Amino acid sequence: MKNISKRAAALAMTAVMTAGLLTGCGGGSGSTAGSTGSGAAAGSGSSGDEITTLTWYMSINPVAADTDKVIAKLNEYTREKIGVEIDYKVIANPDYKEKMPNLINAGEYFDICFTSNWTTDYLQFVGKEAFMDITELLPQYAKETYDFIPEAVWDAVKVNGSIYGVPSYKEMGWQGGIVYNSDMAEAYGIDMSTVKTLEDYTKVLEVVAEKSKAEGKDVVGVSGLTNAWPMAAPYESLTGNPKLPAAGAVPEFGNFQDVSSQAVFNQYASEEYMNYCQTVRGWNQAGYLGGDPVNYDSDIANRDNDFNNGALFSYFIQYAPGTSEAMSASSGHGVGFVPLMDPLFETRSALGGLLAISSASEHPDKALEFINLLNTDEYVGTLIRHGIEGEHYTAVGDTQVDKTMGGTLTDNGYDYTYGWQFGTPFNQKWDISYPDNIEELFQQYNDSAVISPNNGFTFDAVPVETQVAALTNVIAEYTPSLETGSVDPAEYIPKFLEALQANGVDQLIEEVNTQLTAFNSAK
Amino acid sequence: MKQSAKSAGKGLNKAGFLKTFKKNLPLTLMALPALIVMFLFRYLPMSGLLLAFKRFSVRKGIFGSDWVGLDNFEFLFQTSDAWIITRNTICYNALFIFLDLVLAVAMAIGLSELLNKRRAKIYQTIFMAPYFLSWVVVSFMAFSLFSLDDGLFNHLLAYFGFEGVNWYAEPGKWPFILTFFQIWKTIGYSTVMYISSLTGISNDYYEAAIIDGATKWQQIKRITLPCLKPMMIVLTILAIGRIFYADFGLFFQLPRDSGPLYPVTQVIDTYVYRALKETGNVGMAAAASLYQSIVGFVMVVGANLIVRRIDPDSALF
Repeated sequence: MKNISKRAAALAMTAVMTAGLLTGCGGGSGSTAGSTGSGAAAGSGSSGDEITTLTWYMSINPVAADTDKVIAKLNEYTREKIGVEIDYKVIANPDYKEKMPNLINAGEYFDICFTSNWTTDYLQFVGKEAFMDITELLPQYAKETYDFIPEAVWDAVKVNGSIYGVPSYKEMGWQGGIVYNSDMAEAYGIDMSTVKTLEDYTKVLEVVAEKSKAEGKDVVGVSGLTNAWPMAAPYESLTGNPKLPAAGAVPEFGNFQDVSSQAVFNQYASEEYMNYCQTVRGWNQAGYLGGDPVNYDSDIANRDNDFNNGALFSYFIQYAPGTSEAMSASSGHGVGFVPLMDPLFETRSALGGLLAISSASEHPDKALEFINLLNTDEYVGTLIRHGIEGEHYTAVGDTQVDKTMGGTLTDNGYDYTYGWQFGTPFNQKWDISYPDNIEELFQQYNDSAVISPNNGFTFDAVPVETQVAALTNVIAEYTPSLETGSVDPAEYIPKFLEALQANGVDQLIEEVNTQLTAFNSAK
Repeated sequence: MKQSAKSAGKGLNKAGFLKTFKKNLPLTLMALPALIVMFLFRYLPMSGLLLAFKRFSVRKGIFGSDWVGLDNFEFLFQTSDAWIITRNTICYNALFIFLDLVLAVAMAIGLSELLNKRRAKIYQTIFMAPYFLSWVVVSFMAFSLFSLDDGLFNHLLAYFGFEGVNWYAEPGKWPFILTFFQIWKTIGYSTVMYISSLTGISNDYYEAAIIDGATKWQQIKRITLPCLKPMMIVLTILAIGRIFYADFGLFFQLPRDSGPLYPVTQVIDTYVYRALKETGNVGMAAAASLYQSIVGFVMVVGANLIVRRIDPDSALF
């Protein structure tokens, strides 16, 4: 008797556990079926009021606490305006980078998703046919946006002549340079306007080291060198990745004279690269970079801290208008900027952020109408970036917001520094920390931008993936120590070039050249 | 388990099978959840191995994507570092397996010989603790030792009047550092495995040996080690099966992805990670993993074959 009941108990346990397992799996698939089902129902308009629900995956950092409130407000507006409700799935940047590619690969349903060249790679997923070709639909459903964004930017996001995403329109291209502590520069009597090139900067670093030592302080002269090389001698990154050895010369910059006869060349084999490495080697040996620049660069929080406290004089950044003003507000001292180049607009510049529509989307028309609102409607733009007026900010004049609401509030529940990721800053009101003429500054910046000779060329890496894989490893091995002056360039550059040679740099350059020739002849 | 399989094999007729099945029904049912989980998460995903031979397209799905033959495997062998990667992976793992075996057995015997059991437990816990640390945490602990500016070692060197060492740029020192941290981190876990099988050895053997006048050393050599042998063989064969998988955390996090150290820290897992983070090719990732699995499979079967030759009772299968 006892035995039987024991056995029965065991059986029951097993049954329960198995059932639990099965429902666990069943539940998951049931809910996805349900959500696609409801989407389809809404699309057919059988419910009468014809509200379409769009699923939007967004990457932004950090996810604001009051997101639900803001989206409810947004839905109120879009329901009325275009008959759309947003099912908003926002994920913080680090997670999005891991999760979104998996969701797409797994065939998860979505209408709109954020993509770029730094998260959920645009070109890669266009190659995997995950995004819809919207070339024809754009002028039809998002005409205002289509007209508002300059043609060069549209050209840049084209893949084989088709557009697969709406790019965020902000500053055109990238401008490398150095931000510095202007209070310190003044105290040490440094005239930064004399700095035009990297070599000019050596004198500045010398003065900083000398004067700060005299004060008994140990100020690091400059950091951020792991990004500095393309700023010292700007070139067009034909593969979309500035690290891969396939560069094109940009005539306006007047560099790479010795190789400019070649359409595609290995920038690491150039004289400019040797010069750059020699210069920073000199800085490193003179002690301007702190002891261990590679590790110093990897810790951004520490760098910002040092910069704010005056333990770091300057660092290399890619600049956007208004940055130094915003930085002075956050660092507690004056911040200036020395450009090392004019802004350069190339294909990859437009890939900093895009909203793409899934190739499986059932409502591409509605999705585009919504993206159009994000880019042109001032109410939507300001709402999604700064939140609800009166609750998250107070309006200052017609064009500015004050997120502190006149007080000293720091965390108001909803505000995004990187609000351009939603579309464009031009239909979003500006924070009061930006100068009044910020749109003018953007205009100046965009007007001065040099458009690269091969803008619009996107490289299809598939034929040389094997080489890219091997070269990526070689580059990761050599460049950090070379470009921070940690090793002697005269000894290591030849080694580096040899390793590149052994891993197929020639095939890569040849393939880029072939595709580039085809691209230019098709134009 | 082995016996019931054998008896089932003998009585191949249907009635016999049914009878055994009926007899073992509760046991079978109890195993069922685990079997289902294993099927769902171990066997079902194997269809994904097809990707190793395909160019993946989201729209066409795993089964609809185009075949590309062995193209996805090329990147593993075309690099000029192929030899370094293979050498590092195999040699480090072989060294780890050997050291882990010798040191864990020695420590297990040492701990079990301690008369004060309370103290033995404390030591065991101390050795075990690093096993639960993530490699990211360990890498920062190591950084506090090896950092050029603020590291403990460089401060010590400076104190004694020596020049500081740029640890993250000197490949010569890293085989030792890596080995030390690997053993430091995993030794506790293996030791516990051996201690658990030590407690299974009957005290009668030792009592009889003491009566016969055996010394401590003789007891260890003639009783403890032979009794531990099956455990040693099982753990070693399992470890050999993973000889072509390198611990990513150890080889990537601990050296802080430092370029100059690649010649001694580049292993197959770090190579694949660095190679594919640019292109994100799912097919190539699947190819690398399939290659590792096949090598692992061959190694396990090979190791087992050798063991069976020498001592058939200790073989896994």
